[in-house]
Amino acid sequence: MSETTSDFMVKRLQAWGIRRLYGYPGDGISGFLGAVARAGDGMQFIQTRHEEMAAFMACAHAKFTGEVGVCLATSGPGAIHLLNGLYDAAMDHQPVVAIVGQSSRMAIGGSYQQEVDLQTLFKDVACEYVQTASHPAQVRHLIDRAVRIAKVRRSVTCLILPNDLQEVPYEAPPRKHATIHSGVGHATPRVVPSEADLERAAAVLNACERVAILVGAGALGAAEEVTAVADRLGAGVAKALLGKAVLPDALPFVTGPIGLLGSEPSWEMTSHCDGLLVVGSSFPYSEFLPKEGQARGVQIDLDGRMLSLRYPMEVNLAGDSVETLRALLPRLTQKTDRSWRDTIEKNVAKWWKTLEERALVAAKPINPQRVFWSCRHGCPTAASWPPTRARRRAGSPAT
Amino acid sequence: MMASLSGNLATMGPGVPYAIAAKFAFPDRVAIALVGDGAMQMNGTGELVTIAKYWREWADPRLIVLVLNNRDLNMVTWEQRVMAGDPKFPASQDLPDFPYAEHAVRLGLDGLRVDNPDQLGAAWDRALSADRPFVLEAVVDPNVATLPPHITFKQARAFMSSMLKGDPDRWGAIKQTLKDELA
Repeated sequence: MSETTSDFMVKRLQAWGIRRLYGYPGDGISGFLGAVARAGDGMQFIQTRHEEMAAFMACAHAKFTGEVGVCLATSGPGAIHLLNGLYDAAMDHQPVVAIVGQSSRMAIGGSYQQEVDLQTLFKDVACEYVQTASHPAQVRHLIDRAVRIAKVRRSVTCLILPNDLQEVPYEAPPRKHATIHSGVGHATPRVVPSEADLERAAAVLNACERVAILVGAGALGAAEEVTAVADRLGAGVAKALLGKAVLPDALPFVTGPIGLLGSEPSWEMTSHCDGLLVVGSSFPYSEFLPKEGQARGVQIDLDGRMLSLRYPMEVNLAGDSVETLRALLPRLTQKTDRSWRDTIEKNVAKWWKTLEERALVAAKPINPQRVFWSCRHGCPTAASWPPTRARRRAGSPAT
Repeated sequence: MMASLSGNLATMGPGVPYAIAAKFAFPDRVAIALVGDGAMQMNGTGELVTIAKYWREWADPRLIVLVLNNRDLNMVTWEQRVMAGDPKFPASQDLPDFPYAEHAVRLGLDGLRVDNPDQLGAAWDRALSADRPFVLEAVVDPNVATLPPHITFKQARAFMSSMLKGDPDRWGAIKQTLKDELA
């Protein structure tokens, strides 16, 4: 049997390093699934209970590995079910490729059973790239572009595959006018702000006496750099929820969560700071940030679209968090007055006591806070449990 | 340690599927999903079937699902009280009970329902030393308020007004809030 269009697409996904698909079958995607089956151990198919779960899993795969997550669904209802999970990925800027089936090419436009206008359905969530395949010689660049754009734009992309196309023999693009000859491969650029912007940012932070740092998902992997900058500036660090794992909560200057379900030391810090450094966060609740005009703001974000979005920043730094913090550090002068940092650390210590007291308040039957507190304290004694706790020890970054 | 959740969409229900993906990505590490009973009924009980289908493929079989069972869509109940100043609306907020831990055991997983705070340490120990995925079901009090760092005057007024408007759990909620404040 000659190689089908689907066989080629599965091989192309493998060439991109993709080895696992989360999804749910249906006759609209059967040709593609046949190719996944023929790939054997080279491509793992994980069957979920519902397509939305497959999209969540693809999103989580991207979040936990940094790779592209791929989910798969059949035409019509299966495709519709994916949506909420895809929006989760899109809004948290995760690279996810959705592969969905569609009615046969000769039936499209015929109000056929399970025919939904998928191009329109996915146009918003996969706004960076959504394409319907119509010819076997087209699928090579469709796969290459869907994966590359998902990675480069940290976004959701979508390929719609009419089911008859999935089974026809693959054709390489011929060498002639109006054909596309794409390749595999991705490069991660080193993104650092300009020297002038770094100097301006350092001048602002050096002039402030009470700096609050807020970190989010963009600071994951920058534990060392965030800590060094916080030490240099005598600052405390609050964490938006997606930045929970940036630094361990047990560090004395980490004020923990922020917001309506945040901590008192985070609230105290943002209420009284005169400088705000935001690293990789689009934390939405502005009422928990300083009042406008209270603090001079500096923000670091890889995505320039996210700068000065929640607080009017004096200096916007478009750059990778690790590289930018490293470039910033030598320009920052060591704060010698430690009173601001001491106050933050005192508030943090007091907050841990409050949390313990509140967790131990009797309730009917169990105080929910006690469930989390006991995970940290009552256990674990199991020898096989690694030395990572709900509240981590100082010096062991949560990565 | 890595951690995540649905941040910007803030959808209900990604906890269990996220934990499953974490196990496929890192089968030699422990994954813990922290899930409310509403999210568990929405997606979690179904995805326990997925866990039951695949867990034997994982080098370390430990995946713990902590379910906070309070038979209430509690976060929104408190939002109704604190943000909107409305009493709890039982028709939208009350959740039917469900035997989460028992459901896990029937699927060939392990599980334990805990309704006594003194059992929590031992329960975590058991979950973390289990030879298969484990559902730790904690029966918890819906009248414990989530903890705002500061209750603004507007929010406090909204909370009291929701109580005065006849919240069905008002006495429990007021008593528990006072206990927290005095702690």
